Amino acid sequence: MIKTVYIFLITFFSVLAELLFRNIGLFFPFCGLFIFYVTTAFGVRYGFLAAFLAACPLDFLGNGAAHPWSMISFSAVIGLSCFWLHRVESESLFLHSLPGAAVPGIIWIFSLLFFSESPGMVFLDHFPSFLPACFFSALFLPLEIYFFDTLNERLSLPLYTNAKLDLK
Amino acid sequence: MIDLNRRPARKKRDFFSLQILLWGIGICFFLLLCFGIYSMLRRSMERLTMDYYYPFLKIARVTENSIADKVLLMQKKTTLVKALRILQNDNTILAAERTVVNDLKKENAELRALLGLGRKGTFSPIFAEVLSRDSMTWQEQFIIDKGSRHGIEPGNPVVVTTHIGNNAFPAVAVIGKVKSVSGHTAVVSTILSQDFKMSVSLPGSNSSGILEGARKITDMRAILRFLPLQSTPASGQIVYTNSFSGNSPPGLPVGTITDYTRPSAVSRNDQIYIETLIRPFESPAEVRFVAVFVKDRK
Repeated sequence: MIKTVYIFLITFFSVLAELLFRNIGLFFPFCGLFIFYVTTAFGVRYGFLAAFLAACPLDFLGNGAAHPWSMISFSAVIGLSCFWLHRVESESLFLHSLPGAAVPGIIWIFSLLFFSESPGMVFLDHFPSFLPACFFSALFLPLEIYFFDTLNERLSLPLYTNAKLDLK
Repeated sequence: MIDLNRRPARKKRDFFSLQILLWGIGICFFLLLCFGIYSMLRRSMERLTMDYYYPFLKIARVTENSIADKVLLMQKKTTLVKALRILQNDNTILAAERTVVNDLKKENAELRALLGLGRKGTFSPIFAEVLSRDSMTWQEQFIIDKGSRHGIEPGNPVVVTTHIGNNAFPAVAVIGKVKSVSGHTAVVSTILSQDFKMSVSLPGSNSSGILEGARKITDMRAILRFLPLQSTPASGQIVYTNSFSGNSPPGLPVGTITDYTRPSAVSRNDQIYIETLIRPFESPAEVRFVAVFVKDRK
């Protein structure tokens, strides 16, 4: 039960931060990065729960879309998280800059396909803001993992850094 | 002689066909059920999430506005007094014009009653502020902080204050229309959105056409289609809303015709209607405060 409440709360803050950033024209995937963390630390089911709780407000309120298309991009992020957990041998926190840089790319490409009415024009308009998003995400993900693991340790919740050990 | 060995094989085939048919019906029913559950849940989640996050986004907007007000107070008193005098002047003119409009409305209603015509629908404006946008649809869509609880319905026109031509006095112009509503919010499709369609008329020739959003790569313009061949659009001409749909008050300016070149007599013989491009008065990207025209309930 505490896991569900924890995920609900953090997803809520991530969605709010992402919506506020979008309102001023900035693209930063707070929700995508949190879903990456949750999938590894808590499991795929909790990853999909966080994805559903994030996709609904981001699409209905942020984009005015009729369907939660972001579930598709978040599913790809969950896939990336599973791949990183199962296939990548290194446990270095700094190496997580790579998936951190990949997550904005996945979300941005899917958003371009499903939400924008003229993808070509939006691609040209927003590509300059996409590169800083990748850079800052690459820096943000290791910090996020460290921060949430510190918090989870106090709350006796599963840790990201123990996920690989739990697999073995 | 009847071959007894064939009977069980035939029975097996018939049973197999029946199995496939039943599986097919079962799968179709299951998919329909899933689709029905998804549609029901989608609408509920849409309304729930839009209204749940509304207070938090509204707090952000209120904070922005308070900071803007505080910054305004830091200006010199003489600047503020000058701005106040201009606003008082504009308010006086608007109040006088409103008195004339109310008188004309009353006269219109009396004349319609005399002629035995039905009561004309009237519209009231509701002030709203842009609550959220997305960078992917920055020009095409935004969400405002008023919804069905304020009487807003899908299809209501959304207007913005702008300056038309050389007129120093501001006027309202259509910027979009409401696409969907929840309790406290509404999604607005702007003139440049592909979801936007509105019936508009050219003054003078009384020709009407359908304005559709189609953002051009070089410039932000919408397309006015299905104009009759005998209509005479001219560059710089303003197009207005009409009362055909019943969802918008007539006479609201929508945009101006840009770069219209009349097709030659030869090419016109093959056409059944003409098209032209319309530029909106205001860029949807810069809109912050809008008004929504809501039909008065009888």
